[in-house]
Amino acid sequence: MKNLDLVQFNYEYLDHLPIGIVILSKNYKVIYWNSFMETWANISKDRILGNSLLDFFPDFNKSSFSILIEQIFEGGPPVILSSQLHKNIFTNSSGNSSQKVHNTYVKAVPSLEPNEYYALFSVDDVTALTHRIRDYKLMRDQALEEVENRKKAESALKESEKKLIELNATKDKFFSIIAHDLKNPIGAFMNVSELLANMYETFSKEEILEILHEINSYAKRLFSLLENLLIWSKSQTGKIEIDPDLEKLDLVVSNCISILDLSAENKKIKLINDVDPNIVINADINMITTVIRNLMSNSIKYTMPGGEVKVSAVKDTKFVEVVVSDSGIGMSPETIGKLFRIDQHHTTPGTSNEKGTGLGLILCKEFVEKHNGRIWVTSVEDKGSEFHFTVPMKEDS
Amino acid sequence: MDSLREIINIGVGRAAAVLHKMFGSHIKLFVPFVNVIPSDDLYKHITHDQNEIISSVKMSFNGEFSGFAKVMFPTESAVKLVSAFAEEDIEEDMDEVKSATLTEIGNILLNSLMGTIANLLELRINYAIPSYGEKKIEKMFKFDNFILDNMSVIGMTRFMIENLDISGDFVILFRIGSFEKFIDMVNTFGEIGEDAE
Repeated sequence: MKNLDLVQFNYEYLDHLPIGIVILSKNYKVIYWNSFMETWANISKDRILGNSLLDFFPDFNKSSFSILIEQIFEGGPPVILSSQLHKNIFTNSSGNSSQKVHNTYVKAVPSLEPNEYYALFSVDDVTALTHRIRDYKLMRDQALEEVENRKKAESALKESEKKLIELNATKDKFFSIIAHDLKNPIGAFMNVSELLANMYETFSKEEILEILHEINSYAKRLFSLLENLLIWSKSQTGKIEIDPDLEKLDLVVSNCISILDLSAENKKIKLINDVDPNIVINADINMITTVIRNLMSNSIKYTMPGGEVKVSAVKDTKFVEVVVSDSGIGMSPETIGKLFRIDQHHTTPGTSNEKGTGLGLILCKEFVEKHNGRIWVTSVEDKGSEFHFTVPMKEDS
Repeated sequence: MDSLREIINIGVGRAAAVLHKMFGSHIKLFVPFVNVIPSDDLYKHITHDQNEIISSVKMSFNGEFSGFAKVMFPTESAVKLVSAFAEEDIEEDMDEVKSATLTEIGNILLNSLMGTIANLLELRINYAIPSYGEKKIEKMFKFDNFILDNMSVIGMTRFMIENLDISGDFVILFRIGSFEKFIDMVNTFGEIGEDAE
């Protein structure tokens, strides 16, 4: 029996395996080709047996392969050719089988000649597995994308819920200001002026002057409240954009002091401008004036007669930290937690029973944040409070 | 043992040269640990986190002596290694395609390691086709049906592929019965070495 026939006889049972089996002798001659390989590569046994593998699959001629295969013919260790790194090495010749994927294992087996080895190739069809993995990855990527989209939608929903809550709180604040803070002083204003008009003859000159002073103080309070309310409502409807300009900070503070001088003098409170005249801020001057005026007005309100309110500033690299400090009644940590929040209605009467709305600080926070600044407060009860905020400055100032 | 350490060192050096060629990175090699230890304690000598999942490629051999050689990586590193070699995006998990690729890489390394040892000692060895495994360290050696003896001879070297920040281990384990024969051969190798000097 010829060698080729003997090999067919010896390995006949390999024809029944569900994997491809190829055996090569030393010169790459195909001496065994099982049924699986006939279907897999679309090459019949009759055509390939006894011929060189290289005639059918030229890829094996590449040095990267030949180095490995030569070792096998010497009885060297096995070689693995994985599907990812060696695509279609056994399917190139058949055009319609490019979708097939296989792992190939090559092992030395003793040949019929002493001290010689054949190369036994097992070709493992992993097409279905590879396609399943590809489909699974596609599904996984889609699922991950969906999760990501849902997360985004959820966070957008939360953000919109937060905005709605704020909007609702803004509306409540508006109503509460109109219902109480605006109505009461107007009512009092009306009563006192009505009293004066109806009973003018019965009052002495001194009494009339006293009533007029009272009317004037109501008018001032109403004016200040209306001013804040107007600015705030503008900012709520998005109508206020910052219009930055360069200005000396100590001039801004002096301007605020001139507005508040009278009310401070009434309470015998000393206003101190301790700002370095060289500091120049780069900000919307109207907004920052509103912030400083509100903070100073607050400090005056909560400082006992004879006390003082001081404005100072500390330079940082890009921002200046402005501090409005007073020797007032201070606040508990609980009260501090309620400041700057639209959803918390908080006002405390001043040391001369001045009324407030809690709107001033909310406005301050909005304006400071529009400048990318921060606002915060430190306070000790019965010692005083310090309101700090940061505002952009001209860098070389 | 010193001769064995030297032989393993040469084999691992060749495998490291292959790694260097594959990844173009400096490969840092640590001094091999060679000892006779209880087979049940094998996993204790692998200093990866005991809970970490390890990917390994194992090649058993028999003939004039028998045992197995393994190359092992934490699975996370193994995925990185395959992605780098196949020049694809790094993914998080191992799949059948990647494990086949890692088996091919492991096969190349183990061939280099074992081929060098076999050549040095002029041995005729029969190799099994390498297989891929993914287990915790503790279980890694438990199911190696090969371990029948109470004691094994282990040779182990850690290596680092520096530009990928991957560390792995080469492990060669000999059955103690075959080891005596192996030692004889190693001693012969030692004598040849001395003669050469």
